[in-house]
Amino acid sequence: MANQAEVTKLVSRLKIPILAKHRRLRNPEGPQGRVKKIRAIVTALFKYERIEVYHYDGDEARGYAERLISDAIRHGDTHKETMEMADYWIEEKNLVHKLFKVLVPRFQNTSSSYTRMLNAPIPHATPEDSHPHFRSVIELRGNPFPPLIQSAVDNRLLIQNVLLEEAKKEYRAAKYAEIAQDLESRANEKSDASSETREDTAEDESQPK
Amino acid sequence: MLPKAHLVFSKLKINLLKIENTLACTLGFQQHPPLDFNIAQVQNKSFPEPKTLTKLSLKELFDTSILWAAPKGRKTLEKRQMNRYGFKDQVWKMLMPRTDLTVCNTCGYTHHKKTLCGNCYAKVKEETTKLQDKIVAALGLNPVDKEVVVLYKGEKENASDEFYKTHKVIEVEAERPPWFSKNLLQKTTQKPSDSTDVKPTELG
Repeated sequence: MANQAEVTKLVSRLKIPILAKHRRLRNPEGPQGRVKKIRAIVTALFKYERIEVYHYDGDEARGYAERLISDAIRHGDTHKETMEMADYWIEEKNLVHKLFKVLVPRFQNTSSSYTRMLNAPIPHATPEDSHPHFRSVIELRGNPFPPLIQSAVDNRLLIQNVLLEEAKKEYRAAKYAEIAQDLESRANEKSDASSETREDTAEDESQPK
Repeated sequence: MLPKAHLVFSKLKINLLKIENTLACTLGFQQHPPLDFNIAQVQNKSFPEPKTLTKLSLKELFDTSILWAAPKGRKTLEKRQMNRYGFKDQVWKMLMPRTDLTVCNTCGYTHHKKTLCGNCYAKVKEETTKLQDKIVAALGLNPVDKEVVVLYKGEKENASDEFYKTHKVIEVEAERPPWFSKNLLQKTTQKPSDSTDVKPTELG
């Protein structure tokens, strides 16, 4: 056991969930077709930085893209095996330069995953995770395109919030009026009580001892 | 017994009325129905004559015709209801209200909870494909060694020469869409850091 290499050091630990068993991505060309499809998706992802593909294919290819970037960060462009892998999985060779010169500096200090995967909208059907024709959007983080999800949203003008705001104002106004009335009545009581005590003392004083 | 007697009496009454009517007509007390009610007949051969149906025997009927399958037994009520409405957790055929929809925070359109908003995504996708086409055309087949930055109209004045050297700038002549945040540019216009921290090895 002492001589056994640590598994975590042999293979990059990816920051995305990976299935225990690979998907077969059945197609007429067999396993070779599967590899071809994944290569095309990985290449397109590095080229366009944001693509829309079928969920199954995309989720399968995403792991390969993550592994390529992770290996490139770990070993650099002088490592023979990493370069061979990049050469195999990236079909357009100008993108191999992009992997080592653009994506490595971009991602070397990130703590999250390098890619992001979101479910594309389906207009009329019910999306089911198990459905093979369910589409997904995959993107490399830090791309120059408009964000898919707007993080800071100014939703003050949504009708629900306008109504809630008005209701809040009304409630506050009612509460303030109530408090003011309460204070006034208390003050009145106080003044009445003080006048009564004064009268009492006056009576006490008037009585002969 | 009562309804039967009633039927017999009504039949007798109708027959008596009929006899009375015919007697009145033949004896001349009452006229026949007027001639206007008769159908005018035209002597024309174009009318097809009604075919005389030949009666087939049961054996001939079975030999000459095709017999389709028909349900033999009665379906139980359970089975009929299952066919009509389905089963709740497997195949449910009734129309049910959707509970998996939500309202987009940005645009207010309704979309499925698990997916992106269709309205926002259509806008983003249109802009993205436009930019992607521009970037791919600009880069061509040359090796990509610089980070690509998109600058819209009126934004390149802010960028320095250093920025142009370290980035591949794609200029777009159109105005920046109001929903595409300008904050994305903040990171890239920063000066390169001068820290000398060494990256730890074997972290993956």
